[in-house]
Amino acid sequence: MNNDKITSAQLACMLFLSILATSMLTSPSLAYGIAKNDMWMTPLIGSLGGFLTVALSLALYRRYPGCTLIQYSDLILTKWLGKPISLVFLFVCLQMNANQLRQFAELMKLAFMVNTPIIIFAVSMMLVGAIVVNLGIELIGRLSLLFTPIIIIIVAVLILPLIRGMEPDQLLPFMADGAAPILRGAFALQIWFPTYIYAAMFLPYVSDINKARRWLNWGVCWSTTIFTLSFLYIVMSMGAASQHFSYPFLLLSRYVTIASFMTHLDALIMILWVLDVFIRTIVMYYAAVSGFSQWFQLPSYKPITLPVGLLIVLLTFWSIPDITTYNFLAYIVLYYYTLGNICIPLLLYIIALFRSGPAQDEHSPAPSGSGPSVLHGEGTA
Amino acid sequence: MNAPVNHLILLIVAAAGMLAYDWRKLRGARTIIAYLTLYISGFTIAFLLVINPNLPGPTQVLRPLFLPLAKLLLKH
Repeated sequence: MNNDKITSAQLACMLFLSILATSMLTSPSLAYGIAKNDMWMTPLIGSLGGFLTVALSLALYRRYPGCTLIQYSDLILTKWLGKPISLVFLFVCLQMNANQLRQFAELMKLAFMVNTPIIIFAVSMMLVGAIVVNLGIELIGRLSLLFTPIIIIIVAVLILPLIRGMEPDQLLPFMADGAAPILRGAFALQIWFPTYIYAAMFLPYVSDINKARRWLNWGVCWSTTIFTLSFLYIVMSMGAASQHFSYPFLLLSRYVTIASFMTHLDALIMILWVLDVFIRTIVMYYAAVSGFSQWFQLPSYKPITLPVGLLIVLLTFWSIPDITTYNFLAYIVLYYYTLGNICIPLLLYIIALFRSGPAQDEHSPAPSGSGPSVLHGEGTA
Repeated sequence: MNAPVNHLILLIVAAAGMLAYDWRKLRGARTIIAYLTLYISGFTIAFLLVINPNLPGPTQVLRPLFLPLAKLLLKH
């Protein structure tokens, strides 16, 4: 279908940046609303969702090499059941695209460009995304590898100057309400961690597949570290005020001064936000476009790039009239993201366990005897 | 009433431009069918949304489905 290849490290960077993009700014207020000042522990438990989805995507890929999730759902569930199931997955993918685009546009309007209509941000981002998606997966991989250090440095520059002002007392009382709020907060973070299931859409393009497990698991570890550090930072600097702001990190960045003359570092947040959401847009957009082309069984994904982009822009605004409705949606979004990104792959994996032999023989040269050892390896991941 | 007319004209221009840009790339019946399915459904929704911005959409479908679960997470 195409000759583009990416490396496992690039794939890990792509997914790492995709998660970082929206989580950095919006997850603190969501997590603080549920877990209060224990929220720094939620990513440690929530990362299990990330490890689970990495393990699922690799296990399914090993049973059906060279296939993406859309293709092997046909092989696993037959065509009549597989098509509707993968359409639900694609719908969730479109919704993820639309939600992040709306969030990008709303933040740009709220904080930086007050008079611009939000559809301008959405459409321009989608058009740039369409150009990149048409240029292929290799470019997406290289771009994300290039941007990762830049974004890490920006995050560090924003966090380090405020270390003196942090108050570790804010972390007390420790687990005042028991473990339940932490578990609920960890569940709320499943908006972000299961994004790693999109590895299942990109694994066929990975050239060094034997390193994929290590790199993807490292990716989940990096995400957990960044989540934990930024949550600690926000709790220790803002305390109970965290939940009153939609974007606590943005607020903090306005207080940062470096060497008493570099102020207004929220411009850095804008750089971070645009670069990061751009990566997330192209990664998810590529997943949606290639998913649709595999769903229709087309020879090339390129002709349908623009119509899929149109659908994404429509879903960005359709029945979400204002920011209040959008903010409330966060709690509903969690459930259908979980449905699409954890439940569907898990269902596919469980059914694939029961369906032995014939389906995997037509794609894989590996003998069917390798099945049990694959399953055995799964438990350790 | 003035604004929707302008928006409709803009949308027609966008629709025509997109089709003109993509038409040369479409090869094979399967690609054309897939393209037209996405294209027609997309622009139908777009036109309906310009005429009536309050058109019920995915939010109205998903909210009743997941609202009880969302309340479960938020209690306390």
